[in-house]
Amino acid sequence: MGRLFIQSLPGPKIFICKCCKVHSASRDDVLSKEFQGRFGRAYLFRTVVNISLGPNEERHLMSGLHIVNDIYCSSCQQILGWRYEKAYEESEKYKEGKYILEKERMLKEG
Amino acid sequence: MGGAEYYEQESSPKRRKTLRIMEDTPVLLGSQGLIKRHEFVRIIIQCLNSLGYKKSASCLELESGISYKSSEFDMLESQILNGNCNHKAWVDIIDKIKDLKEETRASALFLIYKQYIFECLYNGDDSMALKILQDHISALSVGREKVHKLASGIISLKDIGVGKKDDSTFDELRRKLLSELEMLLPPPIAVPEKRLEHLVEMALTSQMDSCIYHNSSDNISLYEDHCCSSDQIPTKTVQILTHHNNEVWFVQFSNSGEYLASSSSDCTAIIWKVLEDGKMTLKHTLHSQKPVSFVAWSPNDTMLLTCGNGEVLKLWDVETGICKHTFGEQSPIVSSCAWFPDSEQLVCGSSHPENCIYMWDLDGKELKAWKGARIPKVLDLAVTPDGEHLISILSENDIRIVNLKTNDERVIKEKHAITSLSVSGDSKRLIVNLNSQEIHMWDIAGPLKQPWKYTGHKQGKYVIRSCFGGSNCQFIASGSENSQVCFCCLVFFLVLFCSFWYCFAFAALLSKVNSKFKLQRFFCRLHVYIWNQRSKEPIQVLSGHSMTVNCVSWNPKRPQMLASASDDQTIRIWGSSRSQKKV
Repeated sequence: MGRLFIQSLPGPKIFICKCCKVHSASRDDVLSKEFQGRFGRAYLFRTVVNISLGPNEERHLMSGLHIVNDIYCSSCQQILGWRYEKAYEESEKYKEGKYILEKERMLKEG
Repeated sequence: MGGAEYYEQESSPKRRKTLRIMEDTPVLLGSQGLIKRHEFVRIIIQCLNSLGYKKSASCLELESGISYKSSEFDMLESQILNGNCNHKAWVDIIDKIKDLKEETRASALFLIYKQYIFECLYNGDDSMALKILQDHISALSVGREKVHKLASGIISLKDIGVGKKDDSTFDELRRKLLSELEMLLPPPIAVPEKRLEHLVEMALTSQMDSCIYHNSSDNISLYEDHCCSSDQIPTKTVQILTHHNNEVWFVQFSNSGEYLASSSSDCTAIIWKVLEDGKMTLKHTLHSQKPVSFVAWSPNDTMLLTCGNGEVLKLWDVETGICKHTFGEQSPIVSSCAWFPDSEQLVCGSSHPENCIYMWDLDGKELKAWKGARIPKVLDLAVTPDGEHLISILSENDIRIVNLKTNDERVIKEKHAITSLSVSGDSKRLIVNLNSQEIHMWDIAGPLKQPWKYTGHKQGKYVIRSCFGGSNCQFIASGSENSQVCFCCLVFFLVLFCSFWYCFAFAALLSKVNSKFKLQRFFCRLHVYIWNQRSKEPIQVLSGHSMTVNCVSWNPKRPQMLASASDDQTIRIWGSSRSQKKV
């Protein structure tokens, strides 16, 4: 489908997609390591690359009601995590616009 | 003008008397009362004179009572041209003019004194000439350079020997002095030359500037306000080319506009010929081992380079379709390449086996190679058609512009990832497509402050390319991607099919939703977007492709022909609705 635009990240320490090995996020962008995803541990990132967004969904997470978009690796379409679109509680507002990547779907490089 | 009486321009008893005679003729003209009658008539007289209609010009002066030459200038002219040597009188006239800027006064006096000096020299009166130089000219505040040049001119004249001393030379020189003074003195003493033509062209330029579809250099008439309709730009599909067997990733017209090259993931590149009537026929199919994502025409259009996406750089001959050369001993994978204007050298960027920029000549000899750890990954490359700048897109959203003559380097940092680069035909501007669904246009030579931004198209996952186009590179066209809304409309249609007897209700709902969200547009049509450089929003959207439009190219010699390449395996040629009628 067209020529996929794959970004590559600088810096030695990056996370890559387990299936297709494209770069997903840089370790410098980790905001927190204390999150829980569908498959276990998950990290909160400031920014990620090479992903496509799914539609908005309302979901009840452990931290409350949120609007999230699932994120998929743009080259292999694996679901990697989600993005916080909107948080209903004040204490959760800091997550808006940030990304969760599941540790189980990632590999560390560097 | 002979001995006809002339009237003064400034308000005076004589003028007021004349005005009372012509009482019913208004002083201010124009629908907004902005035009002063006597100024208007004066520039008309100037225009008639410059067109060669001297009789009409003097007729007009008599009839209107307005004289072209101001009283001061008239006095100056009669004094200068009457052949006497009363230079002091000339200086007096200049001194008497009120409201003259010091600079202008000094320059005018300088010219007069210069003439005085030369006439003294011609008459053999050297001491007088020197005296003027010392007393008057040095007192004027003109630049030292001018004075030195004059002094050296005097000396050289003495050396040559002022032999030819006759009246015709005097006359010539004096006329020259008069015309120089006319250009120097400000209005209302003298009118700037070709004033009426200048005003008319200003109005025409402003009309052309506000015309968003303007696409040709003819078509301007003085009889009507200029405004082009959208039949100046491509709006309809003229031809669909289906020869490729897989996604078409790249199209580009040759520099002469006679050929079109396209490349596809079916591992071929095709050269098409543009026929007289605008239709395309297949000329050659060039076969490669791997999908080709980039082609580059040589500036003389005799050769084509193909590369990209896992394929090495190959050189093809356009006439025969034979591969003349494959570059690089280690067969590096080249992502994009560019020619230098002499069609003898080329530059390309590679990222396998290592990040590198190569410069080769046509025989495959490596002229330069930039390798090493510090070389970043080059995503796209271009050389401006005038050969002055080499522009490259480096991996961290950087646009690097190198001036090839001075080796000056400038880097523009974008906030979002850049997917492609394109340079305008006049070498002045470049555009980049960004991941954030914007196209940014930057001036290559000028100060790099803020880019012009264009939005309206969709881009997210794929490499989408754009290009400049139009008779003067005033348009920008870009491809675009699928949008997410597609899913919703599919669901609607599924439900529609399943519950047929609810169709009326659903049809009503669907048409309501359709008009609200313009779903029809998203459902089966992908677009090519066209912007005018001055408009942030698209001025035209071309629909027809059914999948992502990867690349567009505007024919440089036919400003109404556009080609687009899409994942639906077709290339569409677009033309204006005018060209449709012809065919």
